[in-house]
Amino acid sequence: MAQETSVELEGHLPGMLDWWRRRIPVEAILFGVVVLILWEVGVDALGITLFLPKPSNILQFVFENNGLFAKHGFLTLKFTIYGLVIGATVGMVLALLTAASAVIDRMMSPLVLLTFTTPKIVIAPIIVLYIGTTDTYFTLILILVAFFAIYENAKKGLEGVSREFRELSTLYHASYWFNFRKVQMPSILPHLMAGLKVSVMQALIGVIVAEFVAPRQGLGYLLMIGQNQQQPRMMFGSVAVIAAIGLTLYVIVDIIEGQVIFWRAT
Amino acid sequence: MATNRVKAFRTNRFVRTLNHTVQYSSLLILAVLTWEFGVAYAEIPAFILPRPTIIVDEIVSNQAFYVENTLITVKEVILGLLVGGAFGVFSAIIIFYVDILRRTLYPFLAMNYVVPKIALAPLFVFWFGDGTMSKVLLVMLIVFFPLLVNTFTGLVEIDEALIELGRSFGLPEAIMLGKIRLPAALPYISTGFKLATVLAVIGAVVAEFVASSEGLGAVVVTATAMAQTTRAFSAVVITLIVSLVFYGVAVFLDKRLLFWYDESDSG
Repeated sequence: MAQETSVELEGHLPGMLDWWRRRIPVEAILFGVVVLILWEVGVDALGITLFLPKPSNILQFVFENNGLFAKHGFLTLKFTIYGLVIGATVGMVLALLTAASAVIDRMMSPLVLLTFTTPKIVIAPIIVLYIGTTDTYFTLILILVAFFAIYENAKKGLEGVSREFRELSTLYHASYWFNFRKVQMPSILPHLMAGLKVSVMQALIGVIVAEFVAPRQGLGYLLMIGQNQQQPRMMFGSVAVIAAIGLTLYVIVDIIEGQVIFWRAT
Repeated sequence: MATNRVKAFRTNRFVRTLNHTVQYSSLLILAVLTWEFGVAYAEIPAFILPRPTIIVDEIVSNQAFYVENTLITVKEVILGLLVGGAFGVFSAIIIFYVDILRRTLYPFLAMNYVVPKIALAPLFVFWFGDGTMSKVLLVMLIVFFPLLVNTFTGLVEIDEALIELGRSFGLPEAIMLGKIRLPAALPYISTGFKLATVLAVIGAVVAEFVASSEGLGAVVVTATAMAQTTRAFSAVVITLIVSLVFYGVAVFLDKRLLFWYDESDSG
């Protein structure tokens, strides 16, 4: 009951991007350019560049320190992808388990609800306490953050398998594997891709927060350094690189979606 | 006879409900019990892994400390939710009516979806200090987006027949908005609000992680830094309960305000 709403909840977020994908939003881009120009000129006029740096200065800073941003950006990206892949696998397996048995479904549902409605990330410091700021720590946090959207969507897809198909495969004594490949998978895939789009952003946020908690590496680490050294250019630069990573991953998933779900010509 | 059958049906339903309740709660209870007795049996000291009863004990015996920090976080979340949420709904209404904003500002804001708002936490601390102010503002920003988008979507995807009806009664636009458009958008707004409660708690706690001396997030970070495991676990448990309560209130409001709404007849 409560979990079903969560899919709609999260489903609205990627909708924000799809909205502008339908056609190139010339006005929005122009608007963005105007905002940037106003920012550039206004900050200078008000004399608050130490507080809010000019966009050109931020860009310059990123290019001057491109090695630093590339190194930490790559680490953030690496863990985002790790988390997505493992999280998606965990989510899929859980969805298949809960679809296979109503009892397992009911047993799992309070835990699943708990992981959705609570800030999972709050246990990050505790995980650090046990395993330190290791690679395992980053990966664990990410699985925790990324699995949910995949699980929800895969489950939705499994519930969407039409009764005729299910009965047909029972009638032919189809093996579990065959049933999975030919009946369940085609129904899951569209939902899975939708879930992946949500997960991408969540995983990215997860890595950043994990890096806040354990500032060892990555763009979250750069943000914390920028905050400690009172360097807004470094913070803005990191945020810009994070946004670029988010956008790139989102577009990649979007393209894969178009390739994988060829039978849904829309 | 009939009463017997009804009675039998009732018992069956009771048994079934009981059965389902047991199934629903079994894993959770099992997990807590295993944690409690497993730790006690293996004689793991509390500074490595505290048992649930020790956590409860810690919260009860230091309740003043936990209440104080919980109230700080709750205050940040509530202020951010209400102000940021009101701002989101209000902006959506203005964008809905002003065509030029609809074509420029809205897609621009929508593009900003790719900027994870939580990543701005260090910037907010830099700008507004490590007190409550930076957290409230960050929560406001986080809450603003889902409410803006959901309200706007609700206003746009309204059933045209309702508008026609209002027009044929010659309603002025102000009444149309209050009596037809906003109520029709309410299911969307409510969905946005439910998501916003979850995001708001995350925002407040993460901002406290980044820099703070008070609040639940700060307690977790300082406690883990000093290896006070029991204290860290207690703060985490309280945070989980707080966010469940916020989400529960949002679900309750949803049920209360949207009793008339049938999901099946408006795809």
